[in-house]
Amino acid sequence: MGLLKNRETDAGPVASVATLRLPALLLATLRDGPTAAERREAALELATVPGAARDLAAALHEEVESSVREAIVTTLIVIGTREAAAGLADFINSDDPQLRNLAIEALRAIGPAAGSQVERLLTSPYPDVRIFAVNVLDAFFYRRAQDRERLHTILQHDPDVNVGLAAVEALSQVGAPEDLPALRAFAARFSEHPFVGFAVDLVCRRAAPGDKP
Amino acid sequence: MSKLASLRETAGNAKPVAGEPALIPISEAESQRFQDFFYRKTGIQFGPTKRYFVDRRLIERVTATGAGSLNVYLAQLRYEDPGGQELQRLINLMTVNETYFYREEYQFRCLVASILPELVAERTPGDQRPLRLWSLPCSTGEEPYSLAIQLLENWPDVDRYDVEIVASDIDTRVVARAREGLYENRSVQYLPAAVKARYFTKTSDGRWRIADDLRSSVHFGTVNLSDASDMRCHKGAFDVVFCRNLLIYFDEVSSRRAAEAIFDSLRPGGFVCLGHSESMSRISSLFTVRKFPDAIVYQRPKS
Repeated sequence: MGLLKNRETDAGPVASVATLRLPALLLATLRDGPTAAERREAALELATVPGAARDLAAALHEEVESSVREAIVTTLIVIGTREAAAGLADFINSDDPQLRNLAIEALRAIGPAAGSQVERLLTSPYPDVRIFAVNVLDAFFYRRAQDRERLHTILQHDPDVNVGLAAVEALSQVGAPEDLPALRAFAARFSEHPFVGFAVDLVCRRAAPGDKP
Repeated sequence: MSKLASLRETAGNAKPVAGEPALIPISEAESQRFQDFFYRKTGIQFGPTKRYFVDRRLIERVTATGAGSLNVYLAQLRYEDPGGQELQRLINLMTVNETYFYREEYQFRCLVASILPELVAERTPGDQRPLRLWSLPCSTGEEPYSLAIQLLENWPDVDRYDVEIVASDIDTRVVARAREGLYENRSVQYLPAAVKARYFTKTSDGRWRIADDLRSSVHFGTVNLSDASDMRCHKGAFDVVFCRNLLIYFDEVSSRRAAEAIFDSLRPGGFVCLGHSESMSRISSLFTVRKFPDAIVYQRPKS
């Protein structure tokens, strides 16, 4: 008993043989594997099969086990293609908060490859979906000028005050003088909400410290 | 106890060394391409602020291998390094290691006061398996040796159970130094004098050599957390994993994969301890948050 001594003859753990399983077998296990551990393992192994994005997303619709859901989402992020983003975007509207949050995190991690999905979500008739889309855009818009312009369009035209506030929040960390006209336009459109003026002033002061409203 | 703990500081403080070889020009695009390559191999991202740090070490290897230019060097890494020896040398150089004994001691207190008592209380009678602890990354050995000392000093049940301490790092050089067990004053400065006297002897050049008994109680090896086949060897093997101040250097997708790999390395009900600024909840919901009096740690669900 006590601390076990290092045996000189010990060659360390024996490597298990990496068994490469066929994608079809992995997908069948992901769908119908009797235990969560088996389905989770299959989901993680599918990271090497970029064409599996659609099937992974389909499995996410059926899966109830949290650890398997996490694994599917990890693999979809690793695959990181437009198809993977499309599969994930469907969950932004989910009633299940775990799936919704996973989808937002994953689309943020995928980055610009998720751009066309974010664009689609931003045209949703539901303000909540548009807010989540802004939350995704927030993670990567600074890499591309067109995403900054997209935020300006939201500030200038989105009919829902909370969607605009999500855009203000996105600009709160990385706002620049070029954002000021759109921010001021948003404040003018919703001047009846005192909080809007307060939030916009704060971001404007950060974005352009010497600028007067 | 992080193998990468001082990366940020070192990156900021790096100064040109007198007599450094003539500079090989590295363009921004080349530096970025290299960083992408390194990220794919290790999961470690440097970013633009570390450019000077990265380029300087890269030039050191380009010069040492006689490649002459970065492009030739990268081609050699890809196609002429099947055993991965040069990649390993590069990894060693890029990952800076600085740590000390009893760093973030509250987690060791949590281990002996809460985690181990809970693990042994839930064992079925007659279960003779050793308790297995993993220090990953172990850097130059301060963390796994601290674990061993803390168990011997502060866990009353240490003689009732077999305990195996495994320590791994991606960097072969630090693992060799950890095995050697020789430390500067700086590393042992936070150890109580009595502990230092019990487990170390002072060498003639003023360094501290760890006791042979302790040295032989830690099983050292090399592991890359971002390498699935490396991690597969440790599947379901551990009761507690210490993985501190490593995930902060990973981006979202590498962190998520690391979380999955740590989950796999733990037995159901096993625990993972992260650095004080790290949160598993921000990475993944695979683990249950456990709030103990001394620390917040994460647990793989029991079923």
